[in-house]
Amino acid sequence: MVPDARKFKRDSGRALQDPALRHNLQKAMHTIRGRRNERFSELNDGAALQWIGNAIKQRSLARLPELLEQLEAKLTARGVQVHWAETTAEANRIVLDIARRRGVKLVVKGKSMVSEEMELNHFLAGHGIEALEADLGEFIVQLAGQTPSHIVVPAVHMSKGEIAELFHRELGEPYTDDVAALTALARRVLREKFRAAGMGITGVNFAVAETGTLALVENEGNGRMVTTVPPVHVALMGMEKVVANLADVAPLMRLLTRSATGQTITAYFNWLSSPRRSGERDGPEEVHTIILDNGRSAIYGDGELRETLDCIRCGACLNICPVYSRIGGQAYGSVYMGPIGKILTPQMAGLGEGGHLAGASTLCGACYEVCPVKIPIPNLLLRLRQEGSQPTPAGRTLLKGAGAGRAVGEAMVWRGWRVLHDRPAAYRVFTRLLGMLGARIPQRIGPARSWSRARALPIPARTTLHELLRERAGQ
Amino acid sequence: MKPTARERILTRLRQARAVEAVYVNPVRETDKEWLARQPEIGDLAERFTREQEAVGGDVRRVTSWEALPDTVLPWLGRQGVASVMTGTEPRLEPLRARIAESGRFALHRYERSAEEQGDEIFAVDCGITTSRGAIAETGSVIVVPTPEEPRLLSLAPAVHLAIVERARLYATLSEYIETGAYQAEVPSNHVLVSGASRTADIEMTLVVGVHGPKVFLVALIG
Repeated sequence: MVPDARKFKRDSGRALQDPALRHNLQKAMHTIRGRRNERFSELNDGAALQWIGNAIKQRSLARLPELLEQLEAKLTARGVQVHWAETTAEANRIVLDIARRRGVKLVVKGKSMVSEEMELNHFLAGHGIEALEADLGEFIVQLAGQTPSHIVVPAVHMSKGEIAELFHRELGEPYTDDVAALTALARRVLREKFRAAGMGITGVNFAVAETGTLALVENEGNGRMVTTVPPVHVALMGMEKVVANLADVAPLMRLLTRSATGQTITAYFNWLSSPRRSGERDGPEEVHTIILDNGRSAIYGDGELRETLDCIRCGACLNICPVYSRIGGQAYGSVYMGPIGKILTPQMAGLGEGGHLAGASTLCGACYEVCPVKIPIPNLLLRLRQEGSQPTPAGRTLLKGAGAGRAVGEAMVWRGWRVLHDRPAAYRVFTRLLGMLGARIPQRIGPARSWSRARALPIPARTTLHELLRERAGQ
Repeated sequence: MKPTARERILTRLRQARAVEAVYVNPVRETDKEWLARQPEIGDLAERFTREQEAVGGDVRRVTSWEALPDTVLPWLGRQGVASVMTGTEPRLEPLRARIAESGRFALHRYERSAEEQGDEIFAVDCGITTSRGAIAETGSVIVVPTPEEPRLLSLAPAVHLAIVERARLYATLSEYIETGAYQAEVPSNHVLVSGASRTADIEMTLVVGVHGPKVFLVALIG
């Protein structure tokens, strides 16, 4: 998915005008925020735990190359095949090669944001392989021919009525908008598929270098099905998912489920370390892990932006964001949405194509407050905005597409602003002029037009504050 | 020879690491101490039961392994279970014998591969497994599939009954990890099960029983 500034402007505008979407989002965001806050308030020191999360991620990232090598060695020793991919195209090719060798026609998938980065379903379909999403939310979104609008709750933008219509239309079942019945329907459809599939694909929530463990966090059991029933399991992981020790996982897990869904733990916390061993009666014969870069090593090379890689994909920043909770995930036109998307997408896609997303923020800082690993999102947004519209300062790594968002008009306005604020005489003349014009400043043409389209233009006062104070002092 | 993707990625990461981090975590020096701080859990069995019940689980206290059948048989009856499956775990043999004696349930055994027994496993109502213990804070049962008790036994049937020994309750996940039991063995699969499978993907409405068991029962022994 290539982000596009004009499309974003259009789609976010449309989203704001869509009362059904606004209603669905408002209801869901309210619920999920409440649950998250409840779980955090139960901790005796939630804020301290967030900094522990940050410390663990920083410590892991400081040893990233060694930990990845250790993980690879441990997994390989137990018969897991480890692959490295620099790009999503390479990762797709690796999946396809495995699928072809095994004669796979049907793939069942657990939830994986990396697979969204790869647009894997689309790629496999192009090669005659069906990839079916097994997470209920993903299943819904796939049936609707859409992409997830939320990292954790993919179909959060849809109401049960819309989902009921969709199931009725696409699955040919009698119409029902009973949520339990809809869920039961998905269970029935997918049970057959788990057993028919030649390959299961999942993401990875944590990879433990010390033990060579891939840890999956889920509630539905589809992740367990996908990693147990098909003869081949392929786990896709962003390279930043690795931590040093199993002990690191406990605090991160404590943070992840509380932040994501407001649960103390999910129904299943599934640790995998090898294919089916001799004597074992089930489990996949082959397990593969694909370690994906896709721009992450470049992000790693910047001492500030590196914090982006701390992310554990909980979605808490989406739920709290005043922008996301109004426009929803699909308006962003990128794989990652909300605050994390606004810092991740411009770095992955480059500032040329994704730089506008860094601008779609009020910089209110709520995302930083709730982030379980304390990613300084507002700071990173400012940095990306700056480099999107200005030449990169000397001594800094050039970001992809730096300066692409530079607009001549905007640059001139700021230059003028600087002149006025540097020279007191010029400033006085300018404010006097504005005061004289007052309400006569044209609202419908020129620079004030786009501002006044949705709000009233402030009218400069006839007397300036300086003048008022002087008058008062003279009395 | 052209470097592989692996070599190129690792080389890039090693070079990139030289760049100094801008944000320094304030707790780094003391985080050992912070990590060691654990929440107050209280009585382990009580907390475990409370957490399980909070997610719709059903926990029954049983005095001993010998007393297990007296609790389990009527319990399964009330769940409307018609067929039961276990693996080849020896500790469950007395229970199997009693189930067979009762004549109330069709009794199955997971003893061959999933490829051979798949239809049977997916058709059975209830799977019974032992466990490595449980974590009180989150009400999580530590299920470690083995040749004796394979993965699907706790996954495919609509009801999963897990047996937990009270002596093997841990206060928190951290405490369990610190025992080093997992690290010493690294089983191919290791699952913390906290209740029945569930989802809230449609309008944040909780529905219990998606792809895994719809009912999760725990017999707590001791």
